[in-house]
Order: sequence, then structure tokens, then C-alpha cells
Amino acid sequence: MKKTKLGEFEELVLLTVLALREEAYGVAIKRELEERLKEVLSVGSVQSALKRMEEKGFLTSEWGEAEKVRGGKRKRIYQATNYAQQVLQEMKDVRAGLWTTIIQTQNI
Amino acid sequence: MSRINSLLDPPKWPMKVLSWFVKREYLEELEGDMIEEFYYHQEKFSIRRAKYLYVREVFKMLRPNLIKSLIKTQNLNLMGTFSNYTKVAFRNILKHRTYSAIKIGGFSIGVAISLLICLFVIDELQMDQKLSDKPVYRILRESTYPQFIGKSPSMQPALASALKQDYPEIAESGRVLIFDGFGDAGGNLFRPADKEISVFEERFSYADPSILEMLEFEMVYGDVHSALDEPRSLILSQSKADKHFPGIDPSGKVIYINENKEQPYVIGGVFKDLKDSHLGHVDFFFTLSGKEFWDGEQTDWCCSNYVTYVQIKDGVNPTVFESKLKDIYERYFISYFIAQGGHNIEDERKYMTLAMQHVSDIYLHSADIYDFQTYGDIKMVGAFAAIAVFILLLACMNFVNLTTANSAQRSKEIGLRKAVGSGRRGVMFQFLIEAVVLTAVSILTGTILAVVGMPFFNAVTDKQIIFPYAEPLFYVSLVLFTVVIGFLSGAYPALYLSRINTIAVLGGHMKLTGKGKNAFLRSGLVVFQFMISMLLIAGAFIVYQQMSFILNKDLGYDKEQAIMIQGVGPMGDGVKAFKEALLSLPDVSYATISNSLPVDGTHRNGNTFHISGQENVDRGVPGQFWRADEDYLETVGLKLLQGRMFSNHIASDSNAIVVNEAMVKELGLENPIDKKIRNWRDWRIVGVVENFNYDNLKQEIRPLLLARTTTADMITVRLDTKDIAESINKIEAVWNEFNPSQTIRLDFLDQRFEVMYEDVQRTRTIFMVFAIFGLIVACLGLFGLSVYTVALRNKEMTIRKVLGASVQSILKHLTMDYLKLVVIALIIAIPIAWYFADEWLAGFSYRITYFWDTFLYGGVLLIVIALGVVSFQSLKAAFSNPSTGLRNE
Repeated sequence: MKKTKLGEFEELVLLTVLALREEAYGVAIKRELEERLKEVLSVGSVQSALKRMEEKGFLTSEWGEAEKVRGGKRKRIYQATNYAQQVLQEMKDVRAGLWTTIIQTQNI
Repeated sequence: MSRINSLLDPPKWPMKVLSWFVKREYLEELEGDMIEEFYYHQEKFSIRRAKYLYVREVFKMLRPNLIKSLIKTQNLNLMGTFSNYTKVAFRNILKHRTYSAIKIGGFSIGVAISLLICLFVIDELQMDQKLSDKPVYRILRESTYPQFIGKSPSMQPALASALKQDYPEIAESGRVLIFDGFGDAGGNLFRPADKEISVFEERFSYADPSILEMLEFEMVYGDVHSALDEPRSLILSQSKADKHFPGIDPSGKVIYINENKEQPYVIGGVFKDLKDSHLGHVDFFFTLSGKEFWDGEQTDWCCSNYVTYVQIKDGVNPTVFESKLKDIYERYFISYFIAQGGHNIEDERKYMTLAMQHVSDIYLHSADIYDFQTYGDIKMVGAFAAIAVFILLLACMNFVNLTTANSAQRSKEIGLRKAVGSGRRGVMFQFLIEAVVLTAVSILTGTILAVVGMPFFNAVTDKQIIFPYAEPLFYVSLVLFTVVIGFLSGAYPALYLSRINTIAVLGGHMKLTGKGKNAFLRSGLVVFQFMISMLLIAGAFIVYQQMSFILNKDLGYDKEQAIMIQGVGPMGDGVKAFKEALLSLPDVSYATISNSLPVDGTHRNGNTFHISGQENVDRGVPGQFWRADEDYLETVGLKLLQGRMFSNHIASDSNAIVVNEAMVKELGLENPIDKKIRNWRDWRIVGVVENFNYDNLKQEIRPLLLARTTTADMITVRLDTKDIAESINKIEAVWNEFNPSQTIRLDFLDQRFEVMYEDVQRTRTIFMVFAIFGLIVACLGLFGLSVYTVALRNKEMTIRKVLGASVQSILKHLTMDYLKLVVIALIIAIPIAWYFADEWLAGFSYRITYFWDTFLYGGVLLIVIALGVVSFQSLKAAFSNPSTGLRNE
């Protein structure tokens, strides 16, 4: 596989970014994940993953608008790079391949 | 959004904390996320939960890729910057030579003094610390009787062995007998059997064989388990062994004590000097094994003379034993009183208890225990530590003061540094490094000063502190000290100077008058410095006055022109002929044979006296029992108030006694003459003498009686002569006639008297020295400041002068500012000094009550010194030629 690895949590965050499209910023990603995973996350853990992936080249980001609920602070909107989508696709394929093998063995 | 308005805002401080550690570029986004979540949580749960989660988020932000890196990435050439700062620091030191000299000088003195005091304090605190984990305790008897509140370590001879036998939690017990004059404890003539001459040695004591192991004596020769096992054995310290038996193992040598050849002692071993033990005053231990001071003494429960130590078994909690102390008192003490009869048992149970003191506490925590030994005192150690901190504080303040004062001269440099791109942080760092460099230089000089001053300090404090060259910890702490003090003293200047406005300073708009907030702080520091100096000076003055008061007080006897000759015991009956021979000398007006004198180094004892017939009713009065011959009063110079002195020639006077006023008062006698006092037998009072001081003047005079002597310990001679040296020669000639093989031991009463107050005198000297050094440090600071002010206001003064100001008015201008500060310092310091002086003096029975003039002298002295220091510079300015001050414009 690639040199740059994608952790399990990172992969989830990345997928969420893709799912949320234009609305992919810190809190939104966090809430989406909390709902799906049924567990409480911290801002720090999500942000740390975002920053890490941005550094690795999976994500790009730009400033969004400031809001009153945010105490007048701006959002930062994340977007997955083509490279990220490619890596995700590869991982999905690897998994799918493995799953088919598992199912076949079980069928014997 | 309207819903937000109804919600509470998040607390401010978590954001502040967050901003300290989170990377600046992430801050806005993270803050926004957190605030959004806070409102969301508040709506969803409650305000409390929202706040909790909010604060928790801050901690959860501590992730490596979110927090600031410790080393700034843009400072690529960190070493280069550092070495540049150091270089500039050294250049600055050299550029302002006077200034640097004052800074470093003041600081070094401060460092040297506090280093010495620090070593002293550590040395004191280290006493007996090697035993700190060993469960060895000293048993104490605590009295809460209103007449006598205090603790005593004296126990009956059999208590130690009884405790070990009856209480399984005791692993070992042992006794020490330290009271001078008991048996051969104290001073003795010491002669190895194979030598001709007896040498007088002091510091003898008795000890049980078990003591050596319990108190972990280190043996040079002999076995720690058995060195004192044999009856009549004796051990001595290494330094005494080196003196009498250089280079050999003296074990097994036979020793004659006081020329007693019938009962020789044998050396059982040599122990390393007890420098760091509470028994440090002992050089010789006789064994207590097989020793009995009188028939039946060892099994009698009457008399308490032994300091008793117990070692509790490993694994037994000392409190288990402590809880049995009541039972022990009942078992060995109360039962004896009941058997004896005549004691008020209820009172004994009510007012007397046993206590125990850990062996490592004896040296510093025995101020309330009557064992007649001079130890250290934790209060004293605390006072010294405080002085060390004060002097160091003074030195640090000087440093801060001088650096900020100097800032005007540095402001251009800072402006330039900032203009070419140095940040505030860079400037701060620069000044911190400068401070550390200066501190390092000062600490180095200070350490050298301390090494040089060590012998003097040791002489003053009567200690043998060795500089800890071999101790790695010493160097580590010096380096640590350099960094910490450097940063502390550099912090304010760094913060202040780095704030300087670049444009203002380079545009020339910066005011250089030294006024404003900064000047206020500087004034504050000057006030504080002089306040401390005043405290030190007033303290030193009051200690001095009190000491002089004691030393010159009417003692009730005459210590001038009196000589005591000790060691006459071995002469036996020949002593009477010796006395007659002395009296035949024209210079000698009186002579007396006695066993005690009102000065240090003579016999003391503890006895209980009753009015005859009342010994089973009253508790009795504790006091001294001295013996003397009929010439005692004239020789010592005591005043007879009633009755007469007993006579050597009246046979019925064998039970006659003379008592002091305190005895009459405490026994409550109305007509004391011919009344009988009981102590072992009946004694008849024939005379009363005026109270005289025979003990440390810290305490009230205790009861005392004089009885006719049966043996002789010493002869005291009163001289009437102008040429004392000649008289001594004559006395020595007489002595040599009577005792050819023994050198005379002769002491002046007034000198022995001063020995009694050696510790207090030592305190006085130490205080004086420290006060002077504190003052020097403070003055150096003031001098530096005045150099600065004069430099700063040079132009102003020159213009004033050109316009016709007189020298006086210029002087007034320059000195008034500082004078005000000194006066304020005095006003603050005097009440504090007054309070502490009164506290300290309360510890003396005989004290000065009138001491406010001290503050007057101290204050005037301080003002004169301050004026002198300031006007030295001011005068220079006032007399200078105006043209030199204005020329460089």
C-alpha cells in the first residue's frame, strides 16, 4: 500500500468530510460522527485528525463565515483531495476483496 | 440568532488557557468550535454540564500537533543569538565599570554571606541526622507544677535496665551521665601511666556500653560492641588520642585520673570525634559498667542523674511504647513515692508525666529541657536563615534597581535591536542572559569570598564547617542558584526594558528623568532595603546593649581581681598548708577552699530542701548545695544580710549553713536564723547572704545553701594588687613548691564568667557582622542609584548652576529625594524592630527596659551613612564645571 497511512479514525473523519460536502467543518463533522458511532468525541480529537490529514495531503481547507453561535469566530471548511478519494477507494477495494474471500471460505 | 441571547456565555478563562498552548494559526477555528459546542450543550443538557464539557475540551486539546512547539522554528541560529547576547553582556559589564563593580560587588557580598549562613544552617540541621530513622528516644520527665514548669532528662539509675527487662518493645537501653561534677564527669587530670606529667582535660562523661551502638559511634580503635564492657574502662575521641598517643593504638593503656594510682582506668577504644552529635561536647567516656557512685546507688530509686535512652524494636510503632509511658511512670515513680511516703501522690499524678524525644531532635529542640548542656537552637537557626534570605534579597533588589536605573542608557540599544527585527521576546531573553551572566560572575566571586571568609566565620560561630568541595550536589545547587537568582533578578528589568517603545526612543521623545511607575518601584525597593538595614542595625544594637547590661550587672559578687585555682583535690590535707602559704603573699588579701563558685566550669548539683519536720508534707524546694570554708564570703565578695558565717573552729558548726535570700523566700521562713533545713540530714541556718547570680542570667536566681567543706576542689584567691602578672608569678611559685609534678590550673573569675555567656556573646558578634554586611550591601545599592541619578540629571544641574544655583541648593536637590525614602524606611522599621526586640528580651530575667534611644542612634547612623553615600556623588556634580556637563550637546 501507500507510504502515507490512513488511521481508522482518520478514515472515518475523511469519509464524513466527503459526506457533509460544503458543510464539512469541525463541529459538524464531530456531531455527525458522534451520531453514527454512538459515542462522545472531543473537539480536540476531531481537530487533531483533521490537521494531521491536512498535513498529509488528504484535505484542504479554507475559511468560512463567522457566526454568532461561534462567538464571532470563523469556521474552517474542509474538502477531501482527489488523492484522498483515490486512497479511500483503494482501501474500500482491499476490504471488499477480503470480504469476498471470507464469504467464500465460509460457504465451503 | 435570537436563541443565543437567552443563553449564558462561556467562561473566559478556559480560552485564555487555550491560547497559551495552542498554535496561533489554529486558535480561531478551535475557539469557534468550542463555543458552538458550549451553546449546543447548554441547550441540550444544562449549563453545568456545558461548562464541564467546555473545560474538559481545553485539556483534550493537548495534542502534539495542535500545541505550540517549544522551540520557535524561526530561531534557526539559536546558538548564534545566545553567544551574541553573552558577548553584549560582557561588553556592557566592561563599558560601565563602576556600575558593574557596584552591582557585582554588592551581589557577591550578599552571596558570600548567605552561602556561609546556609552552610551553617545545613550543618546545624544535620546534627544527629544519621540517626533520624533509628527508633532511639530520650526519656523525659515533664512537670506542669506551677512552681516548676519544664522538662528534665534526668532519670534514676535503674530505670534503663528495668525498662529493657519489663517492656518487650524495647530492644536496647542505655544511660549517659553528663553533669559536670558528678563523679569524675567534667574536668580531670589525665595521665597515661607511662608518662610523667598530668595534663588537665575537660569534657569527661560516663556512658553505658550499649550507648556506643545505639548512638552509632564510629570506632577508630576498639569494638563498638565491647569497648566499654570492662569495668573501669575509658574511651576517648580521636583528636584527644592524637594528642596523647600520636600515631598509635592506645587501647589497653593504663590511665591515672587525678593522680589516683589505686584505681586506674584502661583505654577500651578510640571513637571518631562526635562533631555532628548532641554529645559533641564530650571527649572522654568512662564506662558505667560496674560503676557505683555510692553504696547502693545503682539500685536506689531516690536520685535522678542519668540521661536515659531507649531503642524501640524494629517493626514496633513508637506510639505503642509512648502510650505506655503513663503506666511506666506509675510503675517506677509513683510506686516509689508511695513506698517512700510523704509525697502528695495526687499532685504527682496530676502534674508529672513522662515523655520521649527522638534522638535526632535533641540538638535543636531542647530549649525547654533542663539538661545544662549547650546545644543549638532551632529558633536561632531560623533567625540566621531569615538573615541569609534578607541579605540575599537586599542583593537581588540592588541588582534589579541598578539594572532598571541603567535602562535609560540602554534604551537606544534596545530601540535599535527592535528596529532591525528583534521581537520583545528577544530583548527579554537578552536581558535575562545578561542577568544570568552577571549572577554567574557574582556567585563565582561570592564563593571565593566565602572560601576566604570561612576560617573567620568558623572562629566566630565556633564551628568546624568545611567547604563542601567534594560534594557534587554543592556545584549543582550553585549552578541552579545562578540560573534561578539570575532569572529572578533579571525578570523585572527584562519585562520592563523589552516594553520600550521603539519609535519613541529612536525619535528622541523618550523621557529620561527616571520618574513614573518605574521610579516608584525603585523608591519602594530603596525603602525596603533601608528598612531591612534598620532592622539589622537596631537588632545588633539591642543585642549589644543587653549583653553589656548582663556583663556589667551587679552580680552580687565581685568577679574582678579574683583567681581560682582548680585541681587541688589530689593535695589532700596539704591544701590547708597551701592556703596559708598563699595568704602569706602580700598581694593576696583573702583565700578560700570550696567546691563551687558562681562561674562556669565549677560544680553544680540538684537537691531538694525542706523545712525540718515538713519533709513529708511539702513538696520541697529545688536548689544548690555548695560547700566552702569560712573565708568564702570575703573572698568571693558576697554580702551577709543576717546572722554570721559559719566557722571552721566552732565544733557545733559542722551542721551550720548559710543560705541565700531565694532559699528563705521559697521556703517561706520568717526568722531564718537557727531554723533547720532538711536535706539528707538537718542543717542549721546561721546566716543569710544577699542573692548572687551563679547561673545564666536568663533565669531567676534559684535557692542555694553553703555548708562547711569536707573536701577541697579549688582555692579561690582575692588579690589586692596593681601588677597582676607579678602576683600570678608569685602564686605559681607557691604552687610549684607544693605540686612539682603538676602544672597550675589558674583562671580569672571574670574570664570564667564570660565563658558562661560565650553563646550569647557569639550571637552578638554574628549579629554585628551581619548587620554591617547588610548595611554595606544596602549602601552599595544606594551609591549605585545616586551615581545614576546624578548622571541623569547632570544637564539639569548644570543649567541650574549656570543660572546661579548655589552648591548647597544643588546638593539639597539631589539628596532630598533619597533622604525622604530613608526616613520612610525608618518609620516602618522602628515598630517592627521594637516588637521583636521586646519579644527577644522577654527571654531574660534581667533585661534592659529602656531601649528606644537605640532607634534614635540607629536612625541617625543610617541617615548619616545614606547622606554620605549619596552626597559623595552629588558633591561631585555640584562642584563640577558647568562647561563639561553641557559640552557634548
